[in-house]
Amino acid sequence: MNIVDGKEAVCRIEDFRVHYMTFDGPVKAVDGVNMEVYREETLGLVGESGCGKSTLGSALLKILPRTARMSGKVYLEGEDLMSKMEKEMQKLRGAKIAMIFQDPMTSLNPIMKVKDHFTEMIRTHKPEVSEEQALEMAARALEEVGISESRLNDYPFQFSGGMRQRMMIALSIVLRPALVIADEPTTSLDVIVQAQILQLMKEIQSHIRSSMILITHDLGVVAEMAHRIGVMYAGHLVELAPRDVIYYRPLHPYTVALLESVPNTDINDMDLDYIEGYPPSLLNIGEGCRFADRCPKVMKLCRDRTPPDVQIDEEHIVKCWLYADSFEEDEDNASG
Amino acid sequence: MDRTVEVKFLSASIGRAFRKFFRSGSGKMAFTGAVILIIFLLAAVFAEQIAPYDPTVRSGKAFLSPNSEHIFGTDNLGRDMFSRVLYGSRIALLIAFIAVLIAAAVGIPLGLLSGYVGGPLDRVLVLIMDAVYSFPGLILAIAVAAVLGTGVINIAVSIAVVYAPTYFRVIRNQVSSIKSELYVEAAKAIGAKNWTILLRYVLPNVLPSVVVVLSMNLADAIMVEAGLSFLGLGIAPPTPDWGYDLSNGQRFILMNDWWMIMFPGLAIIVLVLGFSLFSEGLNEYLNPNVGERE
Amino acid sequence: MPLVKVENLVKHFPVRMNFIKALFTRERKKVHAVNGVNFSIEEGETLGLVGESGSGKTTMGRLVLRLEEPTKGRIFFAGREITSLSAEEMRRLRREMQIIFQDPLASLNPYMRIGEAIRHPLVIHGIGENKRKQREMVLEMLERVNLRPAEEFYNRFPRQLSGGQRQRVVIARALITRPKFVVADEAVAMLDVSVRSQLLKLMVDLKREFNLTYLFITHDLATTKYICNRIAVMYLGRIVEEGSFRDIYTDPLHPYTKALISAVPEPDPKAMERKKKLIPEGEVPNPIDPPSGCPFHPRCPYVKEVCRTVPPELKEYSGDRKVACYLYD
Repeated sequence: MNIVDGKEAVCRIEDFRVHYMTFDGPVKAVDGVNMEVYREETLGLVGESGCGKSTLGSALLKILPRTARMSGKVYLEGEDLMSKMEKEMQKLRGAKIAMIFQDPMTSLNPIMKVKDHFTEMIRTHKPEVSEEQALEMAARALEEVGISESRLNDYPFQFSGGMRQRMMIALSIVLRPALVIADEPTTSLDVIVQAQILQLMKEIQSHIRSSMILITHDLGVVAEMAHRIGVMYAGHLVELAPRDVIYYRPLHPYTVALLESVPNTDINDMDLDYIEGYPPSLLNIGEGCRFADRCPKVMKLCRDRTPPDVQIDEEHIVKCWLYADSFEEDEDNASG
Repeated sequence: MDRTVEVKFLSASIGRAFRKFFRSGSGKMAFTGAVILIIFLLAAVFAEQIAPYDPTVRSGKAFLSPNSEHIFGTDNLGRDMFSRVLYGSRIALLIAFIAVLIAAAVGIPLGLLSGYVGGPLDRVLVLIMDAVYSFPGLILAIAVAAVLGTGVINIAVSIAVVYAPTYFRVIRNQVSSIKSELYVEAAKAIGAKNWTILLRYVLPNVLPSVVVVLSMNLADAIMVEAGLSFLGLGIAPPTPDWGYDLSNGQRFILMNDWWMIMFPGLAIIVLVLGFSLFSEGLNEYLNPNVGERE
Repeated sequence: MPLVKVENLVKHFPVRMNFIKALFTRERKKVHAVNGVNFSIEEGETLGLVGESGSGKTTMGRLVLRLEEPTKGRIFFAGREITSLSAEEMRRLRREMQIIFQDPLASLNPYMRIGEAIRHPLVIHGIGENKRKQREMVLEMLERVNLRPAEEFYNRFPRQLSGGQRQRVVIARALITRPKFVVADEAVAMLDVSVRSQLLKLMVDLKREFNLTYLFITHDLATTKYICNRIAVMYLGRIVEEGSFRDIYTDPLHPYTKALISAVPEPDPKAMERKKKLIPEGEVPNPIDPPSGCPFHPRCPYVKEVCRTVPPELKEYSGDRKVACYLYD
């Protein structure tokens, strides 16, 4: 069940939706996402603010506000997360699926020492582990991220920004989860510290052999880190492909335009391209491609019907009518 | 930024207690309050037309219990209680409005100045205002009223003394946080003078809380006024006044003449409740995060 | 004559101490935000000021406009020393020098309509005969920054706009008095990629149209390529290197600049793999207690004895390139 095309899928997401309920109607933050995360891979999830990437990440841990309504299926190592009760989810969080946030300070209790964060985390999931053993595990995890054991007695606020993020990483991997979700883990850091943290995350991941979903707005960060990349726009996953395919042979008009509009440092390319207009409001949004209004290749069909996920090849999926010829034929054949 | 108004108004705690009964964000709380207020305002304005009798003149036998001619009964001098309660709302609202006006006129400009200028001026003003603020309200009002004597304006001033520091505190604290907002710095960068910044960039941003404080203050002013009259420091009889009628009525409590204290008392409670609901509803509307922060 | 020139600019902020501590220590701690900075900007030129957090680049921008009073040093605008001007003289001069902040929502008064916000500088400086004329000028400006239909945008409030639109409003407000000099403090940093490039393009176009001189402050080296003639790299309150984008990017001199450039993530996996990684250990030291000598010496792989004691001066290297490093003496 979990083996797809010779690769083992740790996490599988099927027709997943998150709608925020408001007085004025639903805000369709994530709308019909299908994807898999393979074992030991880093899947980069890129998009601009409001595209639903962070909502999707938090939804996998089921830590969204009460106004969020989820539908669809999420399987983590074969287990159906959407049917789990809060109690069962608590057992999974940290142990099987962990999260690294943009700002660790908001997710760490400021009056708890570092060692207490570790022992609490370890002993809620593994009550059989003794206090000393837990401390030993904590020390080892800290060592893996380059923090000295002596800092176990410090409080989170005594750490610098980069050190705090290291500690957060140590905390999230101490129980060796199968899937780590990193939501903009380096966005609030300076470039040089960011480079240090990214390097560390790469090392750690190959060392503990977990899978990772890296959520970021920064196309430079995913270029460095990800094996495969999913591009999100206004709640849709518009393109999913291996890294180099996204950068050098992108198909979706949004991916193409996005890559052109990123300021690069190539001194021979002095053109500044940009996408006209702004992303649409997701409140009560209906059928149709959500990029249609800004798309240079828009057709009439695009505005009326949401494009299907078109499978270009084994590993390349595009949600766009431009590539849907074969799909339509299939549909015609099926109906005829 | 959190702009919730947190002050020591009695009405604020009343309003908060009632929050459970209303769905947050629906505006029903403010609406209910507004309906009560409008009824009392109409009663005050059209007291002459509605009242069946002159409230200061004997209109029937003394100590009549509620009946078809005197629906709230009569008092010890045979005056119609219904007419007195109606006319009483006039005095209550009048004094409350004047008191609030004076308190706001003193507290708001001082608060603006103190918060915006800062430094030694701010420290001195805060010290004085905090000293006044820390007195129990009614006791301070009694002391001031005892010095000034009775009369509408004097009562209003004694109430204003109690509440001016509240305006000062709310405004000053907000101004000193708004002062560091980027749009204030942006105003400096476009070359705006300090007065312009204060009036066009700072003031509009504190006004919503001023409105809330104003309506909470009205409720409390009514209670203090009733308290002063009850103690004989309020309006000179025979002018109809709820506080005075309460104290008058309680002298005859042993005779079971419940209507003499029940109706003025009820009027005070309902009016205060109206203001409380209105202001709390308003507070919730202007600071939408109040309700979520249980 | 350069339009803007700063000489040996220093800014220290006192550090707040709690009451007990203040009683027992004589020494007043201070943040060394800017530590002796010299630069000049020619008319029509754009100087990029690049640095990480704690580099003092934002303080620098505010100092140049005297939104912050310098501790030491002099600032010249159009040949006139502005550090000695009275508050009122400075206030009048503000129509010629403007600033665009990073956060457009925070820099607009939430209770002021867009049109009024843009018109206010005209009112303050008495530009335009009457309200109707001023209104016309605002509408024209709204059209120019692509907020159309202008009539409709005039009456909207900031919260009804998207981030990109709000920054267009801020730009319109900054340019309505036709200033000569504009400080752009991370003006496009908070915006999304697709919108960021729109705004950058707008700023480049407006520069040509209004003959503007920019001080473009940013942490993002890549954006400077499109708009800056020269770039100055700041580290802990000092400029460590100055030169054109091409020179700085292809041949960085200062070890810090080298590290910075090697750390920038490229949106291009192959370029990324080609790139040499020279990531130094540790983080930027606390500007309350900056290192003696060269501020970069504790993290520098080429550190020499002299670096630890005497800070190197920013010296000419070749042509328009300057560097503050003993390696090039």
